[in-house]
Amino acid sequence: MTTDEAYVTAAFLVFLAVVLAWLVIYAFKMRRLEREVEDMAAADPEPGQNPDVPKVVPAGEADANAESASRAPEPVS
Amino acid sequence: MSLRNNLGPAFALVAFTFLIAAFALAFYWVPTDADQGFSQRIFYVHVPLALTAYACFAWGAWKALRLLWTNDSKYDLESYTAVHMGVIFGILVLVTGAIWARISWGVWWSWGERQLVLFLILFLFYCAYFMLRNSVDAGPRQARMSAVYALFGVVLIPISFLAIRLSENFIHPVVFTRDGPQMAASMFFVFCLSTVGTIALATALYHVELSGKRLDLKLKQRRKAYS
Amino acid sequence: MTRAIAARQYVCDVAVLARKDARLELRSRDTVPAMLLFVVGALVVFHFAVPVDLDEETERVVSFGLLWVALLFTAILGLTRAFVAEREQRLIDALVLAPCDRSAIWLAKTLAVVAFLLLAELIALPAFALFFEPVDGATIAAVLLANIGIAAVGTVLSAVSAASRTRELLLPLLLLPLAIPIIVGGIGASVTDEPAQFLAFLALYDAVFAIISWSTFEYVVTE
Repeated sequence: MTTDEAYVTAAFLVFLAVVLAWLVIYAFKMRRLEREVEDMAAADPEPGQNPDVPKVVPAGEADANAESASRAPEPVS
Repeated sequence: MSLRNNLGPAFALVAFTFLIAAFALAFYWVPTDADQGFSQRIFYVHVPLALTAYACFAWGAWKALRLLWTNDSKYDLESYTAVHMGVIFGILVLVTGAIWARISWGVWWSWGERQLVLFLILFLFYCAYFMLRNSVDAGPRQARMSAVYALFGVVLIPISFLAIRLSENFIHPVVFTRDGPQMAASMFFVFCLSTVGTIALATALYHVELSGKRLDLKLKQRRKAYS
Repeated sequence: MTRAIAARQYVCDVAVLARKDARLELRSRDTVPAMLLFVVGALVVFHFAVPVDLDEETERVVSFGLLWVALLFTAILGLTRAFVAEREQRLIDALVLAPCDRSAIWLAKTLAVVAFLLLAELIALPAFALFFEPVDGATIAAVLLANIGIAAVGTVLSAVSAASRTRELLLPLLLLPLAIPIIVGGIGASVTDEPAQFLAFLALYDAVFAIISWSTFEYVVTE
């Protein structure tokens, strides 16, 4: 490999390396978010009891309700 | 699941296909440039990265404008994420540009290369953007201040470019120039492939990062609500 | 007719607000003396920072470079103080609530900053001519144009940094990348043979950033 080729390869590899570094940072961030969700779930074992989620939910709408509740989180006193 | 929810994976797929194809073709298929030799092939990664970074900054400024316009706080995260992507790709432009300068001129940095100098200024500017975000408490005011600063940035790009061109009148004559060689059709084709791939990659990363930031924000709000 | 009344009202608001800044400065004498001392001190420091045995042309170029750096840093020094009174007395909240256009606050503050800069330059340019190089008309024109650009952008960013936790620390970071074109225009007008294009560039910068600052200031100061 000539010097030119080595430098060109290095430039392409830097690109790859930065994208991979982003991926690693994101993996850590995802892990943290996951842990936070777990903590919250542990502190509040019955999400059905939350005042902002209706207690009785028809089977099909359960997901949609949960999603809309998490999208617009009103402050819960 | 609508198509909108699948935009991220779709862009990731496009990015993967196009970038693999573009880089393979850039190494093994395109003719070697007559003037600059093999090193000209950095062009296929450097210039698409620069275009992508400009696109990210412009997208961030557009979202900032929407925020000031509609006062809808969802645009704040979008603008922030776009600027973040722009800075990541801007750093890549600086690094690949430095490597190119090293091959062509034997130095790691050249003030004679306009685009590189412009990206250095933009890098400083958008680092200050992050400083600004960090030192103001989160809330609508932080969102508006960041939006105003992002708008300043997109105006600064052409003004700085003009300034760098003008400064060549008194700093030193341009010794190095990269314009000139006519691109062959095959070169232009690989360049386009690479540009589309890089922009698709930025879009995919933008979507992932945006949903991550949204998730983070939602969790924070939930926690505040429960405590 | 109503437009004319509104315009007159706007001008009156700006005049009142600018007079308030001038009066505050006259009473406290905080900012302008500090700027004067700083700019002269910077010029003296620069004398020792430049190697002595330069040829004439290089020395001219370097000296003007130092002048522009000194002027920029002096402007930053003044701008860090621009919103201190407003912040400490919570005056800015009252100003925002006042029944005047928020951009009038920006315009008044910009005028005040330009006035302070002019006072500083009234000392700095003769001092520069005395210590280093004679100052020509193009440089003076460039300084006048640069004042407008720095004050326009700086007032918005000063309001931003006044609302931040890091306060004065933030302003230079925000302002320096935006000031690079001003420095290019100023030095070009001072040292090249054809200053016209650099003066035109400074005027363009002023126009563009004055418009964007004028229209966005409101979003920075409202809670």
